[in-house]
Amino acid sequence: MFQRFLRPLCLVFAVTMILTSPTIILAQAKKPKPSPIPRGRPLTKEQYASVKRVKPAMRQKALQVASRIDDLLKVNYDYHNVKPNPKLNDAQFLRRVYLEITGTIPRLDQARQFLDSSVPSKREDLIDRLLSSPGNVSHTFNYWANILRLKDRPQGNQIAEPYLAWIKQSLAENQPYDRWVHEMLASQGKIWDSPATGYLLRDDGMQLSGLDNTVRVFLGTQIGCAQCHDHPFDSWTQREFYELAALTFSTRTRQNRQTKGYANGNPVQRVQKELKEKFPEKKPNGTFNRLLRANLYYVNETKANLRYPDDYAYDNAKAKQVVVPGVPFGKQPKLTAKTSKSKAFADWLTSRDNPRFTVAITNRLWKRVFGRGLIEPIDDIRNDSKPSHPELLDLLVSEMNRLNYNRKEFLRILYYTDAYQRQASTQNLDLDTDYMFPGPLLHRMSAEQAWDAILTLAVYYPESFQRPSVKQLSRIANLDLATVTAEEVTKRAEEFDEQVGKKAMARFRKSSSYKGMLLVRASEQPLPAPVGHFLREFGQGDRELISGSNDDATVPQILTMWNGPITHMMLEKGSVTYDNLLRAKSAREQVDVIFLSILSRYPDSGERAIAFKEMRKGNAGYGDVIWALINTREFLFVQ
Amino acid sequence: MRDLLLNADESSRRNFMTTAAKSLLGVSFLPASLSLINSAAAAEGQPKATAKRVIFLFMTGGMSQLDTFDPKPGSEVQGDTEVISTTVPGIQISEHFPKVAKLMKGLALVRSLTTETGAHEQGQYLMRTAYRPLGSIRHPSLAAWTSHVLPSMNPTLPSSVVIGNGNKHPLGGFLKSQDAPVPISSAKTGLKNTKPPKYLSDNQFQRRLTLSSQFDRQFRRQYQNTEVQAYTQLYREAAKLLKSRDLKAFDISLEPEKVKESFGNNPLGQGCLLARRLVQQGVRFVEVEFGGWDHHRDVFTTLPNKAANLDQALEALLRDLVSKGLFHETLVVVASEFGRTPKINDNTGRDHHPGAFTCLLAGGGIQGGQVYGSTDEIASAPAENGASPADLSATIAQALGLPLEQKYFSPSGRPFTVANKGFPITELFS
Repeated sequence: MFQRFLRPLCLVFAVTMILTSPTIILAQAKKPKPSPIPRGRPLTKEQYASVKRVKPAMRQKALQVASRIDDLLKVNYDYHNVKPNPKLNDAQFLRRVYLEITGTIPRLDQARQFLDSSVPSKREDLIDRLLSSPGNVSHTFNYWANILRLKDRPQGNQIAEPYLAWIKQSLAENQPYDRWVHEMLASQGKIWDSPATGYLLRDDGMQLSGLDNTVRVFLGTQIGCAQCHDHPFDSWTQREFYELAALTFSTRTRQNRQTKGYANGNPVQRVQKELKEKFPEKKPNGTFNRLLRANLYYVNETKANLRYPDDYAYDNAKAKQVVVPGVPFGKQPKLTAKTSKSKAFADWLTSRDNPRFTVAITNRLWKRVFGRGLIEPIDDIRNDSKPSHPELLDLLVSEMNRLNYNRKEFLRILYYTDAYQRQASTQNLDLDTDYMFPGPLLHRMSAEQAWDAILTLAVYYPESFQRPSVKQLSRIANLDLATVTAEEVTKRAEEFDEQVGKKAMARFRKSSSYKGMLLVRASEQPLPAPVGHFLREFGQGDRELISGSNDDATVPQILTMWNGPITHMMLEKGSVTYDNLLRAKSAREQVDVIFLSILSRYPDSGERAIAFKEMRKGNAGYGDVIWALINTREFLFVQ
Repeated sequence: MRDLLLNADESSRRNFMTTAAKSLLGVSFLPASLSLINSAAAAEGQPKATAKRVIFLFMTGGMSQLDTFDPKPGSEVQGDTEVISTTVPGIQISEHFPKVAKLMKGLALVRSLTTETGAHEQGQYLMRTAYRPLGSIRHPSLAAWTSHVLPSMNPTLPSSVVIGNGNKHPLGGFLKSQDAPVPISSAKTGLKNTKPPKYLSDNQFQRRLTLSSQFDRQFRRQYQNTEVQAYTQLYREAAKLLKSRDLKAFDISLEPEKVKESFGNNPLGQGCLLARRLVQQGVRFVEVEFGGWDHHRDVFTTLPNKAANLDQALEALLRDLVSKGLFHETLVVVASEFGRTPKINDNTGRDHHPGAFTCLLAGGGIQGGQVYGSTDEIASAPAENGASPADLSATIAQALGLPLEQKYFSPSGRPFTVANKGFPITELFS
């Protein structure tokens, strides 16, 4: 009865009819047009090789630790009378690890390969392979972008590209976490030579707020209240805040009269004046001014001293007095006239002796995997915070130390656990009740996961679209402010627009867009995506608040899924899903293709019957089935 | 101290807040226990509603009180911002609001708002919900309470809408997702994707929805948590909305060019215009978020642009509401999450200062031409009539006729009230 679907020629016609709008069909009737969906290129070997792989030799030990974690959890299951969730089947496992390690769903071929494999170690093999993939870099970048408030233009004239590229690169190289943080806190110089300075530039001109953010992100501790008064609920005093701030306060983020850039006076005024005198016909354009000003950002340590505020109200120090630097816990740094205060601060913060540093990252990564920290909230850890599983936390902290802050190896252990490979829990949890981790928590895809998953359904090689080279950008944008001439800046500004700026971005856009949407992975989109973009509708934050994203359901999201061009893209010729459907040899296989592509699983017999029935109905069925599956909750949630 | 507070009447409590804020200062910090006070004023019964709708203009980032509505002419903390007189003798505001100054007779200022929360996220949350953020629960925004409690004035449109980026907005909190305000990211584009692709007939669309629900049955049965159910509920809401004849309320392009210009071609101006269209069609609560007030640096050169946007948008909105006959039943509020330091910092900016900040109210029963509360000589702390964000929420809630004493229970069984036992500032109403 499905005979007519078996005839390939007929099928091509049928699918075309069904999947595309009448206008597109008309266009195709005149002359075959190339697909409007950009295809991209497979990544090169070098691109794959640039991502650090997890070590095969470390698997055995990782499995052992994973099983100790399971043992510790089991003690609590028994004690609290909690039944662990059933184990994930292969299809559920496949989808979850793809989404959570690479940020997107598996392609059809990837899904088939895994589901059809009978290799006993296929789960560990897949975890290892995904952790070693470029997709992991993209997804992990999104994760940190949300926490570190990464933006293309944190301030009017800043160019943050080198910093963003550095973050991606350090994730690809799997830089140890403690060194990574240290580099962000202690780097000095211009962003072109020293891209990690982008971290401090993010809070340019706001030393005290910046410190508050740093302590919250890397020590999981909130000290902001103590900027104005003793912390009402924690043990922080205002004096401690000021002592700590005295370590970071002398680090400044701009050129000033004491730095090299001002050797010949205010460089911006000097060059603008020179331009006016020598080339009266030329007006400084946006890029000209922007490049000049972008070079004013310069992280450097000054002799500035922090003083207690005018209205300091406690007896333990005097208002307006110079603050003696110090730390509230851990080892006091020894400061001499020659010590760099920012380095002393970074040393202290990232030290193994700092009791909060390792706990904070361990707890954060545990939450990343299981949906909930052992201490909650993860960024408001206090002296009296009680972890739900103290022994487990101890084990994890000692593992983080043993692994020398190797994040991939650490996560690998968590992904290996039985607890992770169980079905998701759906309890509506109050954060003040302890969670026993019978499995990870069910959650909606992040905005980035939803976007990247849809790309996977339509675009062949979305990861191949990369932003213009940052090396080139840094070379062009880096000016020596003390000596640069107006002529040179003019030349650089032209080069900038052409090779990495406006014009380059326009070419980038043209080569990788569909109906005005840039079809590149979320990590390569403008940061943050513009207001109204799919990513923003699905909860990507504006990158002004730490972890500002959300996964709330809203009406505009639903309208986007129903009617937005993005969900209709995979119904077009040249989309991955469309092409795979054409290649299917039977109606049965077509249904498999649709289910495997969208939900990463085979349909059950009931679903198969519904799909057949739909596809038999005057052919519009294919598009209907695809649309219907993308609009399920099963698609949008990570189970 | 707590016992004393428990028995305190409203005015002595306010005095206490004022003194507390002052005595701990520059510490601008109120004891947390204040929010726990149970008041005797409650028994008086529910006063009559004075407003049917609210437009809440939220200036996020922390709007400087000194450079907007609580200037201190002659003080060194005033910096470069000059002061102008308004149409009400004795009330002066910053030079950046010449249009607002002319409307002062219809406006009320509360200059004595004060909180202890100097962080954006927490401060915004407090302003929107009247509660401090807690890890264990998410409180509904006042917009959501409005949807939840009051009967809808237009069953095909949402009862509340939030215009702006909606970053970390508490939206519906623990209430059902159909009570959550609908977020509109940009007033210019309004509600997008309301039209299906041309090839898709209404019938086919319905068929697709049915199909989707069939495929999803098993998943929904297995995972019955609020997040999954929220989508299921909103699918119904969205379907209803698409059929609404009033969908065009979301489309500001239908307004004459002249009107669009009069509001100002910026997110606030266009947001105010959209807000007016929406309340006109029966949306009860519209928040317009307008960020960028975090002037840590160069406040005297960068704030004037923002202020000009606000001056223009607010004037246009109020005049428009008057001309449409909506002014008297629409409460318009301008607020921010905190103020800024009197002290001008090394970068010619002002830092966060929760100790004192100002809000502006108009329409919806507000007695114009008055200032409620005042600050000390440098606008650092309330000098009289200190008021908390919960008090402001209670004021708005009371204007709408929301019950302030009624207990509502979260799904986990915990009791909450609209405006968290704040005290409405009754002096503001005529």
